[in-house]
Amino acid sequence: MLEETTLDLIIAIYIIIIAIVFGIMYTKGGLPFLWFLSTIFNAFGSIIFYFRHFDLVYRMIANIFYFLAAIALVISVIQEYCELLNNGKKNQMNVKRVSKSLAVSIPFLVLIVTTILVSMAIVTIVMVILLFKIYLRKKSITHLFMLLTLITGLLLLFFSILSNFNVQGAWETAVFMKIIFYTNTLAVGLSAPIDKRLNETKKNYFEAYNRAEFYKDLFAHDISNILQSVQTSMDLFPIYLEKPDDKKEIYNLIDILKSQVIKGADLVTNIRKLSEIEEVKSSTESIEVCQMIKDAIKYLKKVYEDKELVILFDSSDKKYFVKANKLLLNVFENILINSVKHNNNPVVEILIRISKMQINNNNYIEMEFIDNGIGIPDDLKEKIFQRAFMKGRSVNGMGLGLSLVQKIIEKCDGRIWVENKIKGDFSRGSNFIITIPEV
Amino acid sequence: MYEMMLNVSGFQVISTATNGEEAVTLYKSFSVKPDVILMDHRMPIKNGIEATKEILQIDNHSKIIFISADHTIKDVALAVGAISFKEKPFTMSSLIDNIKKALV
Repeated sequence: MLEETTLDLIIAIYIIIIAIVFGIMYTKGGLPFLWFLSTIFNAFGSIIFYFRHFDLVYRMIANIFYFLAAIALVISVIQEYCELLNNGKKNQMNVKRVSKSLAVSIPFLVLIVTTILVSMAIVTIVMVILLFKIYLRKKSITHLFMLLTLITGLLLLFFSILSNFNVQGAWETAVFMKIIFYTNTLAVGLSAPIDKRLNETKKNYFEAYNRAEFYKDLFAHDISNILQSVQTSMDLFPIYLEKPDDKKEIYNLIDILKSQVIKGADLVTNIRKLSEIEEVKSSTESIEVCQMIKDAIKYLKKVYEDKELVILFDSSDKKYFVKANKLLLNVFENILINSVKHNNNPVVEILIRISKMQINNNNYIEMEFIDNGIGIPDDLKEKIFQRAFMKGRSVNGMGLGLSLVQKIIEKCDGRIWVENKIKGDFSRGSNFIITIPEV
Repeated sequence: MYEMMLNVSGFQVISTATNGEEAVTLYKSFSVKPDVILMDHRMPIKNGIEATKEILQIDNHSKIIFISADHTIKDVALAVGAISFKEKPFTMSSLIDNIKKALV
């Protein structure tokens, strides 16, 4: 059997190695900072604990570090549990509330029990329960090892208490539990970056799958519509051929067929643009936005030849340059088309404003597209930019959809959002606002 | 295109709508209701399912044939009260058959 001093030295060296490994793994990401901090405190505690053989005051200092290590773990578990309750959103209020409840209950517990070890044991039991709930939700290897770490920590505390009462074999078991505790901590450090990479891969897979489903849905729907027009034309042809006086209708059908070919080609182009945006292939260049907006207006007037459009765009012949890509034209076209499509008025009015502004000492170009359409209720103002909201829309003729419009803007380091044309009344029209960094 | 199909087949098209909201408004305005309604699904402002529900709330005897390129909407369309569902692309003759069955 090793001497107590030698054992303490071995454990101290072991935890120092673990702390170094933990530190390396922490830089790779995935590990909560507080677990890393806890390991550092444990390492200091173990080193100072060794020196208790020379002066008992070191034992007291070591216990302080062990206590700090435990507090770090407690805060980390509470933080993560609160995030779980808030569905992944960090909410400082809940953390404060739970921490406050625990802080209030701890002194009460200390009053009941006589040693800090017992208090820590009670707190550890609560943390084990919370971490178990977290593990049941997240089901990650890291959280499993975190749970095992706390359980062995609890056993360590238990046998340390028994050791204080000179129970035979308790000290040796406590030392054994200490080694297992630190080994579990090492396992947490090693598994966290692996878990992080696994989660990223899972997320990328689901994103790619959802993207494929999304394109498949839009493509299938739009192709079906094109085929329907072709099918109907084919069904009508023989009927009109038997009526020599209906040549005009035959030419009409030919025009319909031509337009369906153009639609099909546009569909292919749009799908390519969609995947280009998604796959970050597009490069940025210096673009003069006023000319691009004018081009978008021209396109809109061509698409809605029969509609009465009043479009006011006063750029005062100034030029505004942003770092963007050519897909920005599709953004403007999309917004303008929506202004017409979602508008029940006999006259569609669109006001376009452009100006310079500063955000956090950086120069931006701000563009506003204000229409007199049906407007967007407040509860939908964020949802309209989400891909799921696009289900039920068409990629052909409607441009790229607002979720992709937002993606294009974000790739230019810009921002897009919608407000009411008239404050407090969404039904009078919308104001789509885009800000992009100025070149 | 539906109008062309229906006219050559001997039906009278009394009105068309470009979105679900317009369809409901038009339906309310008719003094003599249409015998059959052909309802698309993916439309701006209000989709076909919502428009079907509203029209059937006005008159639950309305006969609505639901037309869509989205086959996943079939069960929902029939559940809200459409008398039949046509998935695009379909032939003119199959649509005429559906309309004739609806008129019986």
